[in-house]
Amino acid sequence: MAIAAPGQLNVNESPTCGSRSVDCFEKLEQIGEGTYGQVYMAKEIKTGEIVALKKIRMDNEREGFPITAIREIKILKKLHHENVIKLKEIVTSPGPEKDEQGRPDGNKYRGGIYMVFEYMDHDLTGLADRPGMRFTVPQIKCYMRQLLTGLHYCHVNQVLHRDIKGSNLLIDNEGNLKLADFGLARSFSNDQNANLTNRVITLWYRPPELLLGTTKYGPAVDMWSVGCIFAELLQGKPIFPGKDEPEQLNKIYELCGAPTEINWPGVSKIPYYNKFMPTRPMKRRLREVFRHFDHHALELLEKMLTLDPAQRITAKDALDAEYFWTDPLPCDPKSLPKYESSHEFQTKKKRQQQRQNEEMAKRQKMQHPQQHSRLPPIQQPGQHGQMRSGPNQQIHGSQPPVAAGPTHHYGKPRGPSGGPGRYPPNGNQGGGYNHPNRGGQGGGYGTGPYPPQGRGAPYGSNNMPSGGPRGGGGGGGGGGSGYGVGAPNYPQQGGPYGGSAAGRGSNMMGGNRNQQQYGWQQ
Amino acid sequence: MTPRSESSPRQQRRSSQRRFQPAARPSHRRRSTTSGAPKAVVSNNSATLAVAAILLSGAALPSLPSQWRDASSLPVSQPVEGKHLLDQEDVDMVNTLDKEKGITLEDFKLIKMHMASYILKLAQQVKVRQRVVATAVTYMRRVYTKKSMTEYDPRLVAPTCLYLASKAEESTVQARLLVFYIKKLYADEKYRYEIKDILEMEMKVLEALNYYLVVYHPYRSLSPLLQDAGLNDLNMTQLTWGLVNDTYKMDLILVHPPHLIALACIYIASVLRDKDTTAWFEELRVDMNVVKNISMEILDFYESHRMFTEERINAALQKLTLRP
Repeated sequence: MAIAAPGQLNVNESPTCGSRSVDCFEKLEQIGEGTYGQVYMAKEIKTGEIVALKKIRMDNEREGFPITAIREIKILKKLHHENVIKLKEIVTSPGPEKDEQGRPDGNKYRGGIYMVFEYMDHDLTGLADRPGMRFTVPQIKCYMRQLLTGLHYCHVNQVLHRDIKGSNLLIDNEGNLKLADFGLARSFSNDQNANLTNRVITLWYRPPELLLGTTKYGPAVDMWSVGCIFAELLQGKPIFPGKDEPEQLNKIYELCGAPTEINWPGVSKIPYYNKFMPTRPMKRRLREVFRHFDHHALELLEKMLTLDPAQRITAKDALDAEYFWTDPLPCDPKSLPKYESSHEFQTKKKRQQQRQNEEMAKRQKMQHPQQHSRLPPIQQPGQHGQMRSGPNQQIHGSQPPVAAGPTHHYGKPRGPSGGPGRYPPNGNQGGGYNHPNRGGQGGGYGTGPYPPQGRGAPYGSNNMPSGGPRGGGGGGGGGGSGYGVGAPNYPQQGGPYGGSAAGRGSNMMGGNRNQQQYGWQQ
Repeated sequence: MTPRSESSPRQQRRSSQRRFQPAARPSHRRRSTTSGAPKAVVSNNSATLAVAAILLSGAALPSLPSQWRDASSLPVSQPVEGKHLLDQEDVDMVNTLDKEKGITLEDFKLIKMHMASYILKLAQQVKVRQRVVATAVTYMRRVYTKKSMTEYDPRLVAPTCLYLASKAEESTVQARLLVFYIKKLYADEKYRYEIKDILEMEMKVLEALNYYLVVYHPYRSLSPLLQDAGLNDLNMTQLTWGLVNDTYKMDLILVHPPHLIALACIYIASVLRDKDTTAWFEELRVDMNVVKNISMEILDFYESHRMFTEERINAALQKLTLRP
């Protein structure tokens, strides 16, 4: 650190650098786990403006500033669009490094670096998971159109997002939807000759070409994810909740049919095509399974969930689909109802705490039957230590209010979400699609929050996430790890497909993104 | 956020076949330069000799009309670079701290040129693409529009910029590898820096750059322009490419839009190779005065190039080390 020049004083806010200090902001509460650190809601002291601060984790960095952060910053500085999250500035935490780890030396230059984003009240998953939440058709059209508009903008600017999923689609109380978390995004060239890693996109939203190991791909990968989200909005639950890659592919095949040289020319040359060849013939049943969807919606979904990426609809063409131009039309974002803030991180966290409370209560009940309630929430060690306990204190009893307070998720949760998610990762695989006759009844999902629906009421009225989908607290394997920072859920990835538990948001890159930045991605 | 449906989408629909007309690009930026990135590993492809020949032969540059319409019909669309371009005066401002050590504008330019060569030499050792070199040099030049060489030792900033550029351009080079080659290239202990120095400087460089890491280079426009001009033979391609490489020995990239730098290089090359491009340039709607000025700057640089001796560079660097 250089001292101030003669004639200059050291008392300036930042004598040697261009970035402001994070002290300009007052952290209000943690609202999420980003790709490389926590996300906080904060207030700019001077202006009172509410922002989101995303901390860039600098520990475990032998190679300086993390390349994931470099990618995200580089891309966000380039994109300016109303449907893409705005990076306002980057601030640093002052002083020599003395952060949580307290390691005195090492490669860090400062305590920490934060990206300052405009604050968004919700993310799509958090919003959808709200109890009693029901989206209207114009609302779904409105969100979908914004999603596609933002994505189209990225694609013409030669940026692949590579992690499109509900929790990365932020929504403000003006009804605006913005793409966020560009931590996996990268620039691409139109010729698609560059080899890119196929280990991107959260499993449930990952397209077949990536699952089959292709390393040359383009914007179509994001469009598959959009298709998954679209179907999820209409169906009320994720449509491909695979727990690992083979199962993910199988779920896709069950709905979309198996790829052949006829429906996907060139597929047999993709690395793992033979490895994952289905043992029995599987034909496309998308129309049959989703026949209760609106005709135009189904038409569009068909084109998004096309196996062959070359034939998959582009964002631009999707925006031109009948669906967006027939009644009921997409609504004006401003006309949408305002909700209390909700982010997946917080809804999930609440669920998790609630589940723990219930478990604890059960256990306590057995041991000390009279003390079953009024137990403090169990914090998993080292995970939510920094959380302000305030808004969560209310969740004590065995009948806690569900997701009532502010609930946020910026960035992504880490590791398998296990129990707390809407969808138990392990139980009920192959539900739904094996029983197409049940329609939206959600076969394996039991009394799920999403009852069958007809057109126009995609989210049924009976939405209280009661015990059902949470699997009675049992959760899934790996449930314990929740979303710990960098929890090494995939400690070794020997082959391209390590074993993995899946959950909403369990991106395969999950915990070890930081460790393996060099080499895996080109 | 103005969804288009509010008025009457049906009407819009009737009026245009395509209903969706997105505002595609960021207005102040042209397209990402990622595609068409030079794939070649760096070579010291310099056009110095060839251009010196122009100067010796006394070939006159063809006179071209100075009045041009607008830039909208260029083969590659080129919105104005906008706020990220600097004025020459700002680029040529020697920091007060450096002035106190006796650094002149001449020294300042010499040191930056020397550091650009240093970056290139290091890059050749670690084998990265030319594009990484170009980005690294641009970072280094941007840093010194804001920071003093006294506080930000160029001998550390140069390798750090290469390190950062290698990440930003997706060709990561490990810091320890750079340190290894620094030691190999320079015995002088003033060049000796360790990994932790580079990592520490990386943060400072990022701040000095205000985290703006995207650099648009002339390379991208080069081949579509050459093709458009019908000059895309190997010889012309190599010559112009080499000329563009040499422009990084100057501050041009901070001051001029990259496509104009590319045009200037094509202009020089066409004069050198005796190609008549007057008609083609006329059809481009660009300010030809700027192109000519850039060309003159490049030629001036070639002319004075032989006077940039090692002694002068060392003398300039020596001043930095002195205690005022």
